[in-house]
Amino acid sequence: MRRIIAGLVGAVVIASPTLAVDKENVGCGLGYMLFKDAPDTTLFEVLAVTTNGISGNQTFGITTGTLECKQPERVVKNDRLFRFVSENMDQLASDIASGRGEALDTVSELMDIPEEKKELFYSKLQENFDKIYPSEKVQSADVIDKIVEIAQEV
Amino acid sequence: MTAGFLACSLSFSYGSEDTLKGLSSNPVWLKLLHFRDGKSEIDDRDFFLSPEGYKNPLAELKATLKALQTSKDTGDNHPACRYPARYTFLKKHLDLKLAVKPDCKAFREFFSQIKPNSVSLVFSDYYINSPASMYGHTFLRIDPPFKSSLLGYAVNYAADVDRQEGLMYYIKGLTGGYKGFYSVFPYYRKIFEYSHLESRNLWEYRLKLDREDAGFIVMHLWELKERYSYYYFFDKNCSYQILYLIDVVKPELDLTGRFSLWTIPVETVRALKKEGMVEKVEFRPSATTLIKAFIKSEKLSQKEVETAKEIAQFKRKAETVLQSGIPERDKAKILEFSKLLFMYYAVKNKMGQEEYKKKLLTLLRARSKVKHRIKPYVPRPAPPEEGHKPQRLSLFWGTDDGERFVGFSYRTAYHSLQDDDTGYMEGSEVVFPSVKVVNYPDLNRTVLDRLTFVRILSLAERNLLFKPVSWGVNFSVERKWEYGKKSLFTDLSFGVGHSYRIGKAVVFYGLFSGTDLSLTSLDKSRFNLLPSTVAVFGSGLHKLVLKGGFGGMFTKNKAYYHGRLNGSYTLKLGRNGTAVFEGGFTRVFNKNRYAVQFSVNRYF
Repeated sequence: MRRIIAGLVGAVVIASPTLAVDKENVGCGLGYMLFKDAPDTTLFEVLAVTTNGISGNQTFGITTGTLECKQPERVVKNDRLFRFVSENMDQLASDIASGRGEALDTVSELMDIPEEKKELFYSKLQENFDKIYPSEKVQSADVIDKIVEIAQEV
Repeated sequence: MTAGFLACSLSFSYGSEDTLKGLSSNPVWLKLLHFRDGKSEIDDRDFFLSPEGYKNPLAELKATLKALQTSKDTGDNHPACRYPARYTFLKKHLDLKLAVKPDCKAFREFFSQIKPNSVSLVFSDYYINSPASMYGHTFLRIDPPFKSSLLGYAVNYAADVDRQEGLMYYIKGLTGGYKGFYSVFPYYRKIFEYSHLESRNLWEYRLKLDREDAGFIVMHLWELKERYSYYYFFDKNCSYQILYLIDVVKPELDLTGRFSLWTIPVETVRALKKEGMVEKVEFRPSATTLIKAFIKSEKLSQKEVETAKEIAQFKRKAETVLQSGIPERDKAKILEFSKLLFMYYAVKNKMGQEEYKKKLLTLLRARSKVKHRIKPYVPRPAPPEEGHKPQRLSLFWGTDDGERFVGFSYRTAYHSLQDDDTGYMEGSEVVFPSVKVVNYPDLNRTVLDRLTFVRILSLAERNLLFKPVSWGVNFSVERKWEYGKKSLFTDLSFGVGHSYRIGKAVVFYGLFSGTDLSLTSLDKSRFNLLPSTVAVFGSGLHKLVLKGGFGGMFTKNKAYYHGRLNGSYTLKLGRNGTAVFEGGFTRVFNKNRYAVQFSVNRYF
């Protein structure tokens, strides 16, 4: 039930500044998808509250999400990209470190990177891993800005 | 007077009573209302505009038309916004004019976010450690027009439960004590849940539905938002309710109408395949499947696995690999593998957020220093629908302690240890109600030999990386040996142990304990404790299962040695048939009893 309650808290967060402070605990950085509903839990507890066949979660959780995140500067209008990167921070970081992966493919599709440039783009990202992810406090908006910057060089 | 005249004249412009009647029995309309056997399966009365709507499709049709034509709402509460699929359907058949043209902002945003273009059914593998998920699970995925399936949206139907309730959770799950709701989430969240946290493989069946179908499904989904039906674990479950979404665009298939007593997820996949509705099948390995495939495909040595494990657990620094003199590709292999292992250990070690973020980044930094890309080959197992069907009818002949017998048994579901594992989890057994009747021709006697309520066995392999516990439970009423004859006992047994792979076999070692409550006289009840072993060899055409246990049996005032040994050989006869030879021995109350049996089994 924790998840639903957390979901409700998330829904009123925009209107309530005291709760918004609590939310900054998570930010939109690494671990965002895992911990955004319950920042003080451990990964073990995240596992315990997720679902199996029977489980409760009657929400339509698709249109909210990245409102509390810091907005990127370089991407003017690509909400789908911003939300994907914010909610897949760990997976994307993992793919960039390895130079390949589905999350990376998705980002490059959303950024319209031409097929023939992907190889080079992925290598450049891998080379620049430390710059894209300078610390564990890095925010999704900064990650996007760096990725877009690198894409322009390719 | 004016109002009456207005209503009259407007309903007139939609056509005669006969037209409306005809329309109200249109299969699409009935499916939009989730009608079955003259009644809607949506229990939430707020779903209906007419107080009779749940049992009268014509009344609901008229009420919907009236609401559409009279509503002065300009926003999201207008019936055209609340019921976009009904509105689309009615507009197609009637010359429909709204009093005001509303701006459906909320629905429009929902629709454009999903941007429906195609539809897949997703099957998540069996999850034997949760009784509610042993049959697997299905949900729908609606995709926008992108190549990456990560951008799709998972449409799930689930009960709103409180897991704290313990036993009540199961009772309510079986008897409709919970409300079920539809939900929508980005697909990557579901992938994370299933592949990473629960280690269940996903099968994605792309359906032959076009953009218009996908759009209509999303419209109908909007109508179902926050509307409930009572959840029944066996029949009105997730897999069943998901079929309604396909039914509204393919009412002629009447998929929901094919399932009545129970809806087993894989059976819904079979039904869709049979109708030629499946365009292609994709396999998405779980985190553990990927880890196992990685070791094989990259030919990791035991030492490399150990190194990667130490790095993933932060008992060793990743730099030691980077600075070592081994080839670059080997460095990439080890670091890539430790990256895969990290999440598994992070969950196991109950890692908190701050520690998780720091360690993840440390590992990824090290990995990014080696350029080589590693793409392990993941072999695709047989898809679940290629397995045998869940029901089983058996005919058998044999002798029991020298007495000849014939008989039959029927099992409602699902998979026994002796059955071929194709499409199922290896070393698993899930049996729900089954009955066995035996006739002794020489004694001219027919008896109920066994009634199984539930039997579950999970033999999960342990290895260098994964250390799962194997376990089994049994709850049945069956005839068992006492001093000179067999009589009925209630058998409640439980076992735990460890399983390992030895060559081609999976071998279990553990302890089984059982309580036999006599149905004839409580004094005859007894308890037994047996250190046991189970070995399962191979699969496919042949299968060999050996079970043995030796320990003690304790009655009210005495203890005896007790033991049993049983072996069976299964020959596969096509996908839905087997022949089984089995023989066994049991020692009860200082006497050995031998039995042999030959059976033919048909799955359907």
